[in-house]
Amino acid sequence: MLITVKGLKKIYDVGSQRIEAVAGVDLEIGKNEYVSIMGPSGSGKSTLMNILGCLDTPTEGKYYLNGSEVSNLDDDRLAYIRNREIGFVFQTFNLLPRANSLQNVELPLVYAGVSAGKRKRIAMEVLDLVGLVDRAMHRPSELSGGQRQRVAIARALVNNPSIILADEPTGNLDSKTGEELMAVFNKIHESGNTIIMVTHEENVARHSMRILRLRDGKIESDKIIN
Amino acid sequence: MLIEGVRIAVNALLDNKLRTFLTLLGNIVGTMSVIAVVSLIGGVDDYIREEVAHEGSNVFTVERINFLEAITDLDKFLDAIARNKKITIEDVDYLRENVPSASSVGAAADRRVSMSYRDKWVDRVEVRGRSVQYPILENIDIFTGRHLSQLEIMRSNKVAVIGWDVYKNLFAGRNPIGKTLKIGREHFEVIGVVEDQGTVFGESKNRFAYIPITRFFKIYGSRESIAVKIKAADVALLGSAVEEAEIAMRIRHKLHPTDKSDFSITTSKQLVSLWENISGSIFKALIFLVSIALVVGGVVLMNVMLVSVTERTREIGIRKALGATRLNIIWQFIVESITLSLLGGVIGIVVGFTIAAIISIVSPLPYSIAPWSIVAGLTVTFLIGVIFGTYPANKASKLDPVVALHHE
Ligand SMILES: Nc1ncnc2c1ncn2[C@@H]1O[C@H](COP(=O)(O)OP(=O)(O)OP(=O)(O)O)[C@@H](O)[C@H]1O
Ligand SMILES: [Mg+2]
Repeated sequence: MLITVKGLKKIYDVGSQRIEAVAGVDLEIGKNEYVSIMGPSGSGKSTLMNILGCLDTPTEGKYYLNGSEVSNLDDDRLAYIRNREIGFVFQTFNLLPRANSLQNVELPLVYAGVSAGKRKRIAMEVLDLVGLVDRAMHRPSELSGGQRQRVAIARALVNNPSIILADEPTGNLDSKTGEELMAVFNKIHESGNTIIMVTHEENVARHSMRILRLRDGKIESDKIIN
Repeated sequence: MLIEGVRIAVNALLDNKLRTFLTLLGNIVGTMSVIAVVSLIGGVDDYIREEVAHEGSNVFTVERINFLEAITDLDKFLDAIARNKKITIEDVDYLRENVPSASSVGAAADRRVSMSYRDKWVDRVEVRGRSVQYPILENIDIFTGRHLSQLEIMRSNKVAVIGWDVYKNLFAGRNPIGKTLKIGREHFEVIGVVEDQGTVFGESKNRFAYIPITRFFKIYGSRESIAVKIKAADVALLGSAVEEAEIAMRIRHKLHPTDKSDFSITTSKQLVSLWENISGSIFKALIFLVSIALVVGGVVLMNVMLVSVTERTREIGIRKALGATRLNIIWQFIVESITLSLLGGVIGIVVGFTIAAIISIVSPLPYSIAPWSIVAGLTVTFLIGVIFGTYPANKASKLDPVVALHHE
C-alpha cells in the first residue's frame, strides 16, 4: 500500500477545550488511486491532508508511507519526505509572488539539490505538460487564477512525487476554469500519479475514482465511484 | 545554493529600498568613519615618517623653547618661556667643542620677510641665518650655483642661496646667479639655488633664502635666541650626543644638579612620539564611536530582519512545504542579512574614501589608502551580518509550516 493510516487522531487543546480535528481514522490508499475527500466545514479534511502530506504529525495513531512509518519523524526528515514524495496544490495557489513561473516550479528541485541547468530543463518540461511554456517568465500577478493553479500543479509534479495532495484546488476558481483544471488532473492521473483531493463540489469529486466523506473527524463513508 | 541565496536576498532588498538604506545607515556610518579617519591618519603618518627620514633622524636641536611642549606639557612650556635663557652664538661654539659624539654643529636663526627683484615680489619668505654646516644638517642640495662658504660667513657677506619658489617667482627660470635681490631692505647677491623641496600639508617648502648668520645678526640684531642644530655621527650615537649636549649646556649655564634645565632639546623622535600619542587617542575614540555605530547598526539590522521574517511568514511556509529544511531557511536569512550588512560596509568604504579624498583636496592633510582598513571594514560588517542575522534566521526556521502557510 502507498498509504496506510491506523487509528489516526489529531487533538488540539484550545484553552480548556479539547478539539478532536481527526478523531480516529483508518485508511488505505493504493498507487495510482484518485481519491476525493468531502465533508462539511470543520470536519477535519485539511487536518487529515496536512498529516498525509507530512506537514503535520498526528497526536495518536500510525501513518505508513510506502511501507515505512512517518508519524513521528523530526522536522528535517519530514522536509525530506515532503520534497521527494509529496506534491502540494493549495486553494490559494501559494506561489512566491516575486518569482516567475519557472522559478516557482524549480523551487522543489532547488531543495532537492538539483543543478541549475537540469532544474531549468525539468521545470520547462513540466510547464509544457500543463500548457504554460509561454508563461514561464511571468510572475503570478501577471497570470489568471487558472494559470496560477496550473503553475502550482507543475510545481507539485516537478519532483516526480508519490502523491499529489490538493486541498480545494478549484475553490478559488470559477466553474469553467475549475473544469479545465480537472482535465489537467485527469491527465496526470492517467499518466500514473496518485491524487488525493479535498473538495466541496460534487461536480469536481465525480472526476475521481473514490470518495471519502468525513464528519466530525471520522470517516462517514468510503465509496468507489468509477 | 549560495548564488540562489544571494539572488533571493538581493530581490528582497530591492523590494524595499528605503528600508534597506535606513538599515544600512549604522554600517555605512561605522565603516565610513573608520576608512576616512584611517586614510587621513595614514597620510599624516607617511608624511611624518618621510620627514623624519629626510631630516635625518640623528639630527636634534638645542633651543630656548620647544614648541611641541605647548601641546604635550603646557605648564612646562609656560615655565620655559619665563625661565629659559637665550641661546647665543657662543653656545654654539661651546657645544661644537663639548659634544664628541656629534659630527656637525651649526647655528640657525630665522625670520619672515618679503623679497624682491626689480618689480617682482614674494611675501612671507623665511630668511635663514646659518653657519656653514647647514647643507649637512638640513640635507640641502644645490640645483645651481653653490652653498655659502666659511669665508663669506666670517666676513658676513651679503650673499644668499635661495629656495625654488623664490627663484621661480623672482627670476622666472632665468639664471639668477650674480643677480642682486632685495631681502627686506638689504641687497644680496644670489650665489645658489636649492633643489625643489616639494610641499607639505599644502605648504610649499621652497620659500626661503639662506644667508650668513653673521649678516643675519647685523640686520636683525643678536638679541634674539638662536637654535643649535646638532648631527650625531651615527644614529646609534644620537642618545649619547643628546646627553653630552645636555651636560655641556648645564655646565655652561652653571646649573646645580638639582636645577631644571633652562633650555630644551628637540629630537625628531619627539615629533614622532607626539604624533603617535595624538593618532593613538584618535584611534581609541574612533574605535569607541565606531563600535557604537556598528552595534546600533546590528540591532537595527536584526529588527529589520525580524520584520522581514514576519512579513514573509507565508513564503517560509511555502518553502517548507516544498521541502526546505531548517538549515535551508537559516541559510536564506543569514545570506540576506550578510548581504545587507556587507552592502552597508561597501557603501561605507566608498563614501569613506570619498570623504578622505575631499578633505585632502580642500585641506592640507594628505591621505593614503590602507588595504587593511578595507579588509577590516568588510570582515566586521560580514560578522555583524552573521551575528545579528542568526536570531531572526533561527526564528524563521522554527516556524510551523501549517501555521506559516495560513498566515495572512
Ligand atoms: N491549529 C488549530 N488549533 C485548534 N483547532 C484547530 C486548528 N486547526 C484546525 N482546528 C480545528 O479542527 C477542526 C478541523 O479543521 P479543518 O481545517 O481540518 O477543517 P476542514 O474540514 O478543512 O474545514 P473547511 O472545509 O472549512 O476547510 C476545526 O474545528 C478547526 O477549528
Ligand atoms: Mg480545509
